[in-house]
Amino acid sequence: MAADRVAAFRRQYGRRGDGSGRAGLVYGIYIAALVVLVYGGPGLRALAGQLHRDQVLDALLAPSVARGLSLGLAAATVAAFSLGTVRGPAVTRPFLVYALATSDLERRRAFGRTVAGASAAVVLGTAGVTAVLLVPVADAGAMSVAALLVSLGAALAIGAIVATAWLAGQVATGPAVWAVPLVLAGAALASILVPAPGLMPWDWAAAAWPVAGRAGVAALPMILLAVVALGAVASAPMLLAHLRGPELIQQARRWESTRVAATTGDLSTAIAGLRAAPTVGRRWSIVGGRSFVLAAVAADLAAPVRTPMRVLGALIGLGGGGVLLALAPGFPGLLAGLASATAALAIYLGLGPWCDGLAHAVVAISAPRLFGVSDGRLVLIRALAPLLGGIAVTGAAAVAAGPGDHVATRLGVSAAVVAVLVAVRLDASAKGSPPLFLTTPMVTPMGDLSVFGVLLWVLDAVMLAGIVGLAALGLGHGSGGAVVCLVIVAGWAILQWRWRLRSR
Amino acid sequence: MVAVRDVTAVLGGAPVLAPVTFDVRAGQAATLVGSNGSGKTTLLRVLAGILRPASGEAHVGGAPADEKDPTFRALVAALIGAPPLASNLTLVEHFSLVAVSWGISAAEGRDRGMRVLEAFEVGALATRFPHELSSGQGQMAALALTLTRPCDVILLDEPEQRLDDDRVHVLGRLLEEEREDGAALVVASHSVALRDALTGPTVRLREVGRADGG
Repeated sequence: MAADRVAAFRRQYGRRGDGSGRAGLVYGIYIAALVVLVYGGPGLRALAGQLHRDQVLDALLAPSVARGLSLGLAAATVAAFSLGTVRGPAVTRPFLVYALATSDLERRRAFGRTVAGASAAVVLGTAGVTAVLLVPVADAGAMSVAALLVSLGAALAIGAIVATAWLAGQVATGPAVWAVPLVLAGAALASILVPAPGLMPWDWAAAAWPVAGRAGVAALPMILLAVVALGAVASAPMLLAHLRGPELIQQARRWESTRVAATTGDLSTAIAGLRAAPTVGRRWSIVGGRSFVLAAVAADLAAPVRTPMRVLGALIGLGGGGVLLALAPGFPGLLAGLASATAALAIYLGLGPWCDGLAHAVVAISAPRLFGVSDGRLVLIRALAPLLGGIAVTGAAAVAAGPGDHVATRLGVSAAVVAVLVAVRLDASAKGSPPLFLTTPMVTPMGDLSVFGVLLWVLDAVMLAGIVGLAALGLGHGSGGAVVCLVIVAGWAILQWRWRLRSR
Repeated sequence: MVAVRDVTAVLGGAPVLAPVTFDVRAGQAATLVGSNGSGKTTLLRVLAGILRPASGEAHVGGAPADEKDPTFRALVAALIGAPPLASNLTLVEHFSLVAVSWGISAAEGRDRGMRVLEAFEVGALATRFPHELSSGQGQMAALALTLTRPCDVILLDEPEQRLDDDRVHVLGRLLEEEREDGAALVVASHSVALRDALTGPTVRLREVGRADGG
C-alpha cells in the first residue's frame, strides 16, 4: 500500500509544470545514445589501444599498484562517508524530499528507490572502471577469465561498501560525523605503516587485483569481502530508518543551491554550499590580546580546525602536494609536468580552510567599515595564515619526501608555490557569477560556444594552479623563466582581484 | 556632525532620492521616515560614503562622506544590510577581532558586544556560530557587532526588523545610551515605538514622483 502511495506520488510529481515527463526521459536517452555513439565508441577504442600497450600492462600489474589501490579504496570509503554528511544518497529535489520526509511513510519506502539508484551508480561505476582496466589485461593473457570475474566481483563488493559508507555518513550525527572518518583514515594509515596482513575491506578488495608473478587470488580475503559487503547491503534498511527529516530537507535545499550556483558558473558559491559547518571548539579562546595581526593570524590558523574533516582533507592536500612537488622533477618526461601541476592543484585545494579569513576580509572591505585597519592591510594580514600554514605543511612534506641534498631548494619551491597560490586564492575569493557578456549565447554551426567562456571563468583558478605547478618544475632547476612566470601569475591574480572588486 | 544639503541620488539613470536637507548634531538621533522606495536606504548609503550624491552635499564630521577616506571610516559605524561574518568564528570572537582591529583589547571588545547581547537577554548566543542564529538573533548579533566598534556617527537601516516588540524597546534604550554618550545617530525606521524612543529630529523623505511623503 505504502509502495503504491510512493509510486502515485512520484507519478504526480512527474506531471509538474516544469517536469520533463516521459518525453523528457526519451529525449535524455536519445542524447545519451548519441553521445555514446559519437564520442563513446572512438574514445573507448582509443583507450583500449592505450591499455593494450606493453608498458601500460606492465604498469598495471606492478605490485605498487595493488598497494596504492588499497589506499585509494580506503580514501574513497572515507570520502564517501564525509560526503554523506553534507550530501547523502537520499537527496533529490527539495520539494520531493520535503513531501516524503514529512509524510507518515517509512523512510525505506520513501527514499529506498532514490538511495538504490545512487548506490547502483556507485557499484556499477566501480565495476565499470575495473572492467575497463582489467579486460585488456585478461585479453593479453596476463590474468585468467576466472581471476577477472573474481576481480569484478570484488569491485562490486567494495562498491557496495563505499555506497553504504555514503548512506552511513548521511545518517551520522554528533561526534560520529568526524570521529568515524578519522578512525577509518587512521586504520588506513596504520595498514601502510605496519606491514601486516590486510584487516580492512579495502585491503581484501585490493588483493583481487592482478600482480605480476602472483598466481591466483587468495580465497579468504574474497570471502571476508563478500560477507562484509552483504552485511553492508543488509544494513541499508536500518540506516534508512535512521534518516532524519530536517537534515534531509536541509541537505536537499543546500544541494539545490549548489546545483543552481554550479550551473550558473559560480563555482565558489557552489562549493561553499557543500562546505561543512563548524561543529567543535565553540569554547576555544582563539582571539585575544591587543595585536590585530596576532589575533587575526591565530584565529585564521585555529578556526578551520572547527571543521575537522575539512582540515584533514586540506592537510592531505597540502602534505600530498608537497611530497609530489618534491618528487616530480625525478619523473620522466611529461609525467613530471603532470605530477607538478597536480601537486600545485592539491596545494591550492588544501589552502582552502586557511583562506576563509582572507575571503572574510574580501567580503568585509565591500561592506560598511567594520574593521579598524585599511583595506589593503586587512587583506594582507588575513593572507598571513594561509601563507604561514601552507608553507609549514607543504615545506615539511617536501623535505620529508625523501633523502636528498636539495632541502633548501625544495623548501624554496614549496614557499614560492604557496605564496603564488594564496594570490590565486585571493582572486578566487572575489569571484561571483560570470559577467553577462560571457553567458550571452554565441550561436555557431558547431553549437553555442558561450559555454567555453563560462568554463574559462569557472576553471581559471585551476588553470592558474596548473601553470604554477609547471613553473615550479623549472624553478627547481633555477630557471629565470619560471620566476617570471610565477610573478606574472601572482600579478595577474592580484590585478584581476582588484578588477573584480571594482566591478561588484 | 552630519550635514545634508539638497542631496539627491540616481541609480541606473533613474532618480531614487528626492532633494533632502537636514542636520544632526552630536548627541542627537535623527530618524528617517518615508514609504517604501522613498530612498531611506539610499540616503544612508550616501551618508556611509558608499554612494556619491547626484547633487547636493553630504558632510560627516565636517568633510564630504567618502568611504575611501580613513578618517571618515573611523567616524562612522553603519549597519546597512547584513554585516560580514566569518562562518568559523563564534559571535564573541567576532566582537574581539573587530575590537583589536580598532586598538581596543580583545577583552574590552568582548564586553562591548556582550553588553548589547545581554541587554537583549541573549547572552547565551555568545558561543554560537553565525549559521546557528535565527533571523531575529542574527539581527541582534549584527547590532552588537556594529556597536562594538568605536565611532562618532551611527547609521542604521531599519534596525528593528525581525525583532519582537519588547526587543524594539530594548533597542531604543541602547541607541539612546549611544546618543547620550555623544554619538550622532541616523536611523531609518518604520517602527513608531523606536522613533518615539529616540531623541532628535524626524526627517520625512518624499518618494520621487509622488506629491506627498507617502
